[in-house]
Amino acid sequence: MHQSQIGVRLSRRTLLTDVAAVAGALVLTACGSTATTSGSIAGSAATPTQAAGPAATSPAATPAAAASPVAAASSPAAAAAPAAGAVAQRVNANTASVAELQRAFEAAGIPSAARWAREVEEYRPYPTDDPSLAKLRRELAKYNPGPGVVDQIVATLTL
Amino acid sequence: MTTSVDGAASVLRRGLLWVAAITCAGIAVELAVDRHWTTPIQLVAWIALAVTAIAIVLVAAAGSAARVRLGRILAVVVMLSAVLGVWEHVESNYDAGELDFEYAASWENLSEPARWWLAATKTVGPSPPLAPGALAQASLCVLLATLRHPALRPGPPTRPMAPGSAE
Repeated sequence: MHQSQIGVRLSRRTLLTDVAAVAGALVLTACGSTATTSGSIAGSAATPTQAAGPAATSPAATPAAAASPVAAASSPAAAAAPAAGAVAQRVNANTASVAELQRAFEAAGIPSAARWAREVEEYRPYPTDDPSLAKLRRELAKYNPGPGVVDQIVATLTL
Repeated sequence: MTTSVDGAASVLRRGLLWVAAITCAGIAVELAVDRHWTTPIQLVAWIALAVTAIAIVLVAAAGSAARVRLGRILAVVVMLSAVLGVWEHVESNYDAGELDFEYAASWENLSEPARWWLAATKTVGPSPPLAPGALAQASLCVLLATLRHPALRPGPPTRPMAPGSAE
């Protein structure tokens, strides 16, 4: 009898923990998507060449944005760590559209995501027998990117 | 005396065409090494290179005034494409300014002239702004080689003159 009460308390506690974790993940994801959207708007206002980026990706971004909370909610740790979320949204370097690349880069917190997405597309195709994406690294290095930016970009890509 | 001047002009004409041809070869190597074909606009350089080669052949083997004039027109077209190339390179660098980590934070706050200056001097971006000028130089050589070309003189057509051929 006493053990069953403890079991009920434990299961309630577990349930509450799970609910709190899911709620927290949803809140974090919502904040993240808001920040991304505002970042895109700021970027589009900054340069005329980027103006088409958010407009072109907004409709397509909706399904991905809807899917990401589900992925984040399944793992509270993933929701708490943006880097982990970034790795979860890996896209194919050879076949992903610019919009998909941009969304993946934005999710990974890479600055100037739209511009980097265009650069990744420009230097295709990437050899499938080069998982380190050495060709892409070499091309992107010409732009004098910040420390770790190329690593972040490569971390969001697959072949 | 006239024959001597004509001979010197012929040598200079051949020399100009050789300079144009060598410049074209160098540009071709440079474009190939740089993989200058990743975007459609980059193919303009290859087309301009081919047009320059055609212009060289037209002027070198000119048997008629029409060929020389066509060579001139093609050379002018290439010079215009070189101007386009310089602009494209500078604009490409301008677009890449925000990617340079030294200017990423301050790019938005820089004045327009400052941004364009950084792009034109290749302080930001990977594109050499004056590289397309090599095409302009080659086509200028072709243009100079057409000055007082024998084929443009009234009278019977002169024999063709290939680069390096003996007078």
